[in-house]
This record gives sequence, C-alpha cells and structure tokens, in this order.
Amino acid sequence: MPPDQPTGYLIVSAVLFTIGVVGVLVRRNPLIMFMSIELMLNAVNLSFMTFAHYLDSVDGWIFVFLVLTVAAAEVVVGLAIIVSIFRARRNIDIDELDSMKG
Amino acid sequence: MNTSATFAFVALGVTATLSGLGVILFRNAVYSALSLILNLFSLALFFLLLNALFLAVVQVLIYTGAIMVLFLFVVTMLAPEAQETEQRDPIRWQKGAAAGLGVILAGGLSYILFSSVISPAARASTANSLSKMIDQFGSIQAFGMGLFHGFLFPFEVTSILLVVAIIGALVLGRRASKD
Amino acid sequence: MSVFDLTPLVLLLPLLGFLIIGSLRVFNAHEHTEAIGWIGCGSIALAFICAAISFATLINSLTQAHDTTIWNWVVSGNLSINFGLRLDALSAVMLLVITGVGFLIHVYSVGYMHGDPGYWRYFSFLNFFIFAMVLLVSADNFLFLLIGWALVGLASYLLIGFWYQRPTAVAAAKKAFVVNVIGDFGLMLAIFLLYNRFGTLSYGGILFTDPGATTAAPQAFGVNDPMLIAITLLLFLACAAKSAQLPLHVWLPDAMEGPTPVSALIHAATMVTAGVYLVARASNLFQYAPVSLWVVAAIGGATAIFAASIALVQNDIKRILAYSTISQLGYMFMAEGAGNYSAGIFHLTTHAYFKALLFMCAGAVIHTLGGEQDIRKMGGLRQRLPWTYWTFIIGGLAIAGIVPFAGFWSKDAILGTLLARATAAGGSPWYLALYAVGLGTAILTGFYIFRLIFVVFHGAYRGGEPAPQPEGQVDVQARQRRRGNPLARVHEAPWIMLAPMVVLAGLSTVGGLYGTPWFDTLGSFLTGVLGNGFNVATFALQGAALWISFGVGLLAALLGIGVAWFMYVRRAPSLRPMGNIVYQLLLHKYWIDEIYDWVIVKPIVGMGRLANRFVEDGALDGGSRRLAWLVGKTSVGFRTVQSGYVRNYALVFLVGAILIILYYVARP
Repeated sequence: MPPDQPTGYLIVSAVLFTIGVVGVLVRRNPLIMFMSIELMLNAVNLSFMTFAHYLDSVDGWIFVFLVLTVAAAEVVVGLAIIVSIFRARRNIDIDELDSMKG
Repeated sequence: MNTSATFAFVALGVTATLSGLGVILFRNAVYSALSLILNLFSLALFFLLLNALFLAVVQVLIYTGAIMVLFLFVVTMLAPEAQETEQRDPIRWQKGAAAGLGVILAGGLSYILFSSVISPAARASTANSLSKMIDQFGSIQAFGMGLFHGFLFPFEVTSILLVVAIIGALVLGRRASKD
Repeated sequence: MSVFDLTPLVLLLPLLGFLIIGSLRVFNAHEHTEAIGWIGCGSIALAFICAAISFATLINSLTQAHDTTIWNWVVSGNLSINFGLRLDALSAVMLLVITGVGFLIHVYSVGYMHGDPGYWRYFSFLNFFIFAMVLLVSADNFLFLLIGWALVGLASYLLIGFWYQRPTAVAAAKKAFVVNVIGDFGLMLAIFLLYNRFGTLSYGGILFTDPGATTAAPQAFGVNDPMLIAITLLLFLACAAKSAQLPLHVWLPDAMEGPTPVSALIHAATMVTAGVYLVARASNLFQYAPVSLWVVAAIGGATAIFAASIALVQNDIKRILAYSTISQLGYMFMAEGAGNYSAGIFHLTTHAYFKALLFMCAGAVIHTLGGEQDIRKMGGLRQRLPWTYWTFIIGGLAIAGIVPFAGFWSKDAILGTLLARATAAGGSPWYLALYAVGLGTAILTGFYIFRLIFVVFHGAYRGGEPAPQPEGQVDVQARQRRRGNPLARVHEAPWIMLAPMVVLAGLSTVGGLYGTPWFDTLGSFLTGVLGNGFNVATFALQGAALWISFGVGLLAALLGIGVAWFMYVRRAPSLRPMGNIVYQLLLHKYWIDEIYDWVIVKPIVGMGRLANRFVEDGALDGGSRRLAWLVGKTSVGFRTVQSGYVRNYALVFLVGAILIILYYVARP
C-alpha cells in the first residue's frame, strides 16, 4: 500500500523531470534530446498518477491516457522531421542548425 | 505502511533515477534508448503500485512497445552518421548553466513539495471516489466510465490528432520526388 | 461740398502695378520693357491724380478728415482693428509728395535702368514700395501703420540688394533690414503700450478723441506721465531707425549700393521721411510728454551736425548725398522737437524736391561716366553736361538755403522756430544751443554740397576713359575726333531722365512759397491735425527778429559756399587725404561702424558659435546623435541573444520556468 503522503512519488517525478531537462540542454544528438523530452513527459505522467491516487479521482488517469496518446503522435512526427533533416548529413548535431543566428 | 511496499518503492525509485541518468549520459544512442526502456518499465511498475492496472499495461504496450521500438529503428538508421558528434561544445557555458539550473529546479520543486501536504479534507472534497469504483467495478471499467462519461469529446479529438500525425509522418517521410 | 476721397484707389493702383508687372515673369513676358515702363509709370501717375483730386476736395471742404473703412479685420473681445484709411491734411500732403515725386522718379528710372536685365523686377519692386508707403501714411490705426512700416522696410531691402550678385549690395541690404528691425521692435512695443493704455489702436481713439470715443485722451493722464514718455520714446526709436538718426544711421550710407533712382526715392524723399511723419502724426501724444520732445530735438540736432561733418570729406558722390540726407532729417526732427511739426513737414516736402533732384543729377553723372562714383576721378564736366550742371546748381542752392529757393524758406522756418523758442517768454537757453547747432550745420551744408559741385564740374578732368555705357553707341566719327580726349563719349542724359530733373528743379525753386512766414498755407492747412491746440503762429518771429534770422541764415550758407569756392575753384583742388586726426576721424565716419562691429556684432557671432558648440552639438543635435548611437549599441548587444542554437533557446525556457517556480517558493 502506498504511504499516506505523496511526497516520495512526487520527488521521484521532480528528479526525473530535472534529469530530462538537463538532458535536453546538454546533449547534442537530436535523438537523445528527443528521448530526454520523453523522459520529461513520463515524469509528468507519474505525478498525474500520484495525484489521481491521492485525490481519489479518475481525472488523473484520463490525463495520463491523453498525454500518452499525444506523446505517441508527437514522437511519430518528430522522428519523421529528424529523419528528413539529418538523412543527408554526415553527422547529426543539433548545433549545425543555426541559420537563424542574429 | 508495510516494509515490502516501502522496499518496492525505494527499489523502483532508484532504478528509475539511475536509468534516467543513463539516458542522458551514455555516448552511444542505442544504450540511451535501452536505458529509457528500463526507465519506462519501472514507471509502469510505479503505476501498478498506485493501483492503476490498465494504465500500467497501456504504458508497457504503447510506450515501451511501440514508441521505443520506433526510436530504436531511427537510431539504427541514422547510426552510421552518429559518429563522434560529441566534439567540442560550441557553447562552452551550456553544460555548467544546465547543471546549475537543474539543481535550482530540483531544489525549488522539492521545497514546494516538502512545504505542502495534502490534507484528508482535500482528499474527501475532490473525490470522485475512485477507490469505490475500483472496488465496485474493477479498474478497467472504472477507467472506461470516467473516459466515456466525462471526457468523450477529448477522446474523439485525440483520434483526429492521431490521423493528422500519421498523415504528417507520411508526408515528411517521402523522399524528395523528382517531378 | 463733401470730400471726394480716392485714397483707396491711391493704395490700390501701385499694388496692381506691382502684381501685373510681377506676373509678367510668370508668363515669360518680362522682356517687354516698354510695356513695363508704361504700366509702372502709369499706375503711379493715376495714383497721383487721385491723390490730387482728394487733396483738392479736402481743401475746399469743411470737414477736417475723412475715414474710409475697407473692412473690419480683428474683432476680438475689446480689441477691434479695422483696415481703414484716413484722409486728412497730413496724409493728403504726404500722399501728394509720395506719388508726385514717385512718379517723376519712375519716369527717370525708365531711362536710367534701360538695358538692365532686372528691369521688370525693378519696376515691380518700385511699385510695391509706393503701395507700402501709401499704406503707411494713410492708415487710420497704428497697426496698419506698423504693417506699412514693415513693408517699406522690405521694399528697401529688395531694392538695395537689387543687383544681388554683388556681395556688397547684399551685405548693405541685410544691414539696412537689421537696423530697421530695431525700429520695428520699438514700434511694436509702443503699440502694445498704446493698447494697454488706451484700449484701442485707431487714431480716432488715441489722437483725436472723436466724439463718442470711450477712451481717455492723452491729456487725461497729465503731462510727462511715465507711460506716455515710454510710448513716445519707443515711437521715436522706430523713427530713429527708419530715418537714420544717431546712433542708428549706419545703414543709410551703405544703402547707396542700390540703383540711384532707388536712393532718390526711398532714401531721400520718402521712406526715410516716415519717421518725421510718425512724430507729426503722434504729435498729440508728444505734446504731453515734453521730455520726449527734448530727446527728439537733441538727437535731431546731434545727428544734423554729426552727419554734415562726415559729408565734408567723403569722396563718393552718393555717400556725400546720403550723409546730407541724414543731416537734413536731423533738421526736421529738431523742428518737431521744438514743437513746430508743421515746419518739420514743410522741410520734408522741400527736401523731397531738392534731394531727389540732387540724386537724379548724380545719377546722370554716374550713368554717363559708366558707373564711376568717385569724385576724385571726375572734374570739368561742366561743358559736356550743361543741363545736369545747372540743375545740380539749383539743387545745391536749394539745400544750402539761398533765397528764393525752397530750401531757404523751410530751413529758415526751422531756425526761426528755434530762435523763437529761445527768446520767447519762458523759453530756455537750450534752444539757443540748438539754434547754434542748426546754424553750424547750415555752414557745413553749404560747404559740402558746393564742394561736390565744384569738384565734379569745374577744373580739369582727372579720370580715365569712362567705361562704355549699356547702350554702346558707336560713333565712328566721334572716335576719330577724340584723339586723346577721354571725355568725348560723355554726353548729356536722354530727355526721359532730364525732364523729371527739370520739373524737380522748378519745384525746388518755387516750392517754398507755400510755407513762407507771410503766406503759410501749409501751416494753417495742417493746424487741425497736429497736436492739441497747435498754432503755427506761436513759432513765428516778429519784426526785426525775423529779418535778423533771415540774414544770419543766408550768411551762414554763403559762408560755406564761399569757402568751398575758395578751396576748389580759385585754387586747384588738392584732393589728397590729409594726415591730421580730425580729417581721419571724419573720413572714417568716426569709426562708428567699426565700433559696432567690435561691440555688438562680434560678441553676438561669438555667442552664436558657443551656442553651436555647446548647445547644438553638445546637447540638442549631439543628444539625439548620442541617443541613436546608444540605441544601436543596445540592439547589437541584444542581438547576441539570437544565437541560432536551439539549446540556448531551451535554456531560456528553463530560466522562465524557474522564475515561476521561485515565485511560488517565495509566496506559497
């Protein structure tokens, strides 16, 4: 049975979220950046689930479900974009897309 | 709170954190993807701990099953090009700033969490008595009732969203045709 | 019999002439010099006829004045100003002089300006000037007087700088305008004070207290009221600037850069007399401020002798005549300062005749010598220019004051007034001093004018070959006849220039007869208009004093003429500059222009430069330049945010999110 306060779960969620954020900022491989974004989304899912349990409401579950669905759609489109940009290049580095400089 | 639940929680927490760190720290993209699979799996077990059977299974099926497979496809497709991308960072201060800001973020969130508690009164006031529904109908049925009774419209819109995503992916994935 | 007031026509006709001739340029028809000549002279001739008709009906009528209101211009609260014209004795006399002498000068200009490329411009400006001068003297309120005042200043500027490609002409025009503006400033302040004191600006309300006027007459404020003194002194400031009195006389000699007919009309006969007109017009105000009258007379006397002294040693024909004008204007102000406004106006009219004549004769000499103006290069022109010579002599006798020429009667009216005020019961010895000044000036006048005549017309010719005239008449036989005679091509002026000279010579001879002590029609004509209870008889000398005054005046003039005769006819004239300090002082005009330059002009220009450096470059222009530089620098700084790297943008997202979280940390 889960503890009577959600603090533990929420801290795990916060830590995972932070790790995801740092991953987006630090890594230059676009695929790994994308994976970090997925990590962030899952951390948020965890916190939604936690609140669904502790506030005794099914709304949290619905949110998780919808986030999941949208994340899936996002992954599909995002990977298609990454593939189409980086297909013709020699090395994949997000910092090479800097034509909006200035 | 019984010890086995606590032990399970701690173990799962450690696993999730370590695999999360693995995602961002491995040089090899395939290792990162595998780390992420482990992370998603441990999250599914978290969901189980929280009494959400359906969603735990959905997480495993869709996230780890479909999405991560897709990721692995793309990683291996672009792998020959993913040589030594991690050369000198053009933005030298980015790593330090990211680390610092990450610490601040985590600290801020934790502080908020520690300084607030959910009172039983709040729990009682917002309750849709999910636990009662689970006891009465079972977990999946409770989820279905919630989805189709209150959130029908978002559900339909989401299906349209999925169609749009498929079409977008098809269009983006085409090779530039010479016509 | 009622007054047939054609004053609006007198105002309108020159304006039409100005507009028509000016618009010819628009239609590129300005080469038709003959048409321009007819239009220009014709408009003034018609104006003169209208003025004469108005004058004639005015004499015969019983009304003193006739007002024509053309339209109500300003109606604002208590202030009501009409564009109106007043025909009374004073303005009628002035109109006759302006249009009459103006017409003669227009005719003269047809000959003098023949061949000048700016012919059309000249005649349009000259017509404009007549229009402005008529407006000045016939306005029935002070505001339109000011408008006319400013417009004649403008016309003077345009005409002095007529040959605008000459830098000296442009500088002289600017100088004239700047000095005139000082006078305009005084006139404007006087108008403000007049409105403040009287509540109206019309002559009827201020000067003549027409029946039914609701404002108090000057006498209600008592004698020597400080406000009245201020008003009259400010009015006199305007007169001093316009009529070239000390110390604002500096523009008139330089104004000789304009064509000679311009000098004749504007700077001798009409514009410079506007000041004399103003004092006479405002005589009702001056009557009650004797302090101002004292100032007027003092400055008039000082100017008279000052200018006459400078004229003694000048070598440019027109400069001598310019200083002569300044000196004679001083005479007019002396008379008005003594209270005899009618004598001032009398001298104004006679001076118009003989000074215009003198300028015309000088112009004939200059014209025939191809532009030469230095008398040291002239001489012996008597045989070749007989008409010019004899008219010049008549003008000279008139200005010196020899009986029976016009100048004698008017100058003696002035000197007689001073003597009468000195010897009358309650008179002060101050007037005796003024009389001595006037007498001294008479001696100097006789000297310098006949010095001019003798040096130019007698003796041997000292100049070189005169430049060919614009007409460029080539007479082959004459050239053969010359054989070393440089004066062979010098010939008399054409009849169109001589005719006005002869007419003016006639006027200079008989024109004084309407002001003689026994037949003072002018004085009695002007009585109702000048001052409160002005009676010209109070200034008349009786019996023996009268003949003594005549004799002394005549002797003074003859003394001056005699010395000139002795120095320049009996002996060969030595025209070398002398070394002594008095001569140098006079030759350099007491160095007044240089003093003004050092004391006034240089500090102002210096202040302007300082202001340019510190205020303009430092604060205003520099401030906006620095602001622009700052904006540029900041935008360059801000541009570095757009690094183009996605990860940087993500970092910014994170910073924003952290700020929101920190907000919740601080305020739970």
